[in-house]
Amino acid sequence: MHTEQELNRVIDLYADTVKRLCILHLHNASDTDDVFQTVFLKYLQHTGTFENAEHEKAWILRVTINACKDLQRSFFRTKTVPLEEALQQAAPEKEQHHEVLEAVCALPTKYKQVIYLHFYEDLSVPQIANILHKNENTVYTHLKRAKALLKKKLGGIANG
Amino acid sequence: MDKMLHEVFDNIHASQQLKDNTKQAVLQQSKSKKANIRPLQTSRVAAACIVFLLSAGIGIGAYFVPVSAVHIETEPLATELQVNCFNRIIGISGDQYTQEVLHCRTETAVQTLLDANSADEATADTVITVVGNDGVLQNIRNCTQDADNVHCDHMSKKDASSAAAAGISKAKYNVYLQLLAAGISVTEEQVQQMSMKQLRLLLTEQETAGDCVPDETVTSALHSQHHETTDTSDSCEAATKRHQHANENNGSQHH
Repeated sequence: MHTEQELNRVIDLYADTVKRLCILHLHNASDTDDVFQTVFLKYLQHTGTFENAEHEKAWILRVTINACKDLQRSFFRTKTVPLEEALQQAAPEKEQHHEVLEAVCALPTKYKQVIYLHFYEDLSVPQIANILHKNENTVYTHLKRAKALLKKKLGGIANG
Repeated sequence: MDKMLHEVFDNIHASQQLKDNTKQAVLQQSKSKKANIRPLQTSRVAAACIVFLLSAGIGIGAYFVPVSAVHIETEPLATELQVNCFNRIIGISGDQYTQEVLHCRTETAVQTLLDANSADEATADTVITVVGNDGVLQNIRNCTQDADNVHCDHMSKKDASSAAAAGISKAKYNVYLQLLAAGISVTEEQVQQMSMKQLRLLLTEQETAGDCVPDETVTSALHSQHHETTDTSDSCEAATKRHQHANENNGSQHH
């Protein structure tokens, strides 16, 4: 079990990361609240120890992705909103950012996961494979296809 | 693309309100142990399901296990009913086989079979022997107490096995045991050849005459089946006279 102080530190440190993953997966503010509580409650109850900050971050990423998947599979999850409305959660300031975020969110889940983890979290393919419990070659393939799809969607923006 | 994605995601932040709400909710759930409700409920439901399935399995298994047997003998008909611990009929075999009585209460089944007897058989004596549970016997006695020609007896499982081994019906074997207990020397072979009516008459004579009935009565009864008498209230003297009469008949048959 972690202490209240540790919980506060982790929320301050990883709240943005969890929020970004929620926007990629859920498109819904109330679902985001649920995932936040699930992830940090699991952290508070986690009895294991983290070897270092990277290990802790990988744990948060994995638990968040799993929580999002669980919520998507949930029988009681009936609230869905259009992507446009969902993007209001992120509230991108520039029009260009809006288009990019929309393009990423529109990708299949397996592609947007690797795009986010690789390009934003700067994780290597083996690290991504470990977090997603997938084969490294599968992650390579997903990354390649995701980049191709994103370039195709964004066109000139991606090249610029 | 790398730079652009960084810019896009850098602009996404969790609001302070979301952080505060999460802290508050998580601490509250942790303190009130609500966090354990879901797995606890799951395990409770699973445990309840297991208990239910086990109970149902045991109940279904117990339903089909016979604990008592009811033998209904109205010469020449003989029927055996198998009774479970819920006082329900789970099996029937013999001359009056009918699926109509299956899963009925024992009293109902017995009454149905007695009612189904033909006119001739209805006037004959019916002996109901219960092997096993005394409660079943009591129930049958209660439902047949108004019938004049129905006798109810109990038999232990050991005696029932002995009767089956000797090839004697349960009703006859019960009377055979009573005759032996009354001091009358009678063999299993003799009992097999005698009718139920003769056996009962013999027993009644023994009870009425006490020690006056000689052992030869059994032999004479066997050889005088056509001289059966239905008067069961004879005195010791009358019994002895019949004995002499039987002996005379016995002698004439040999000649």
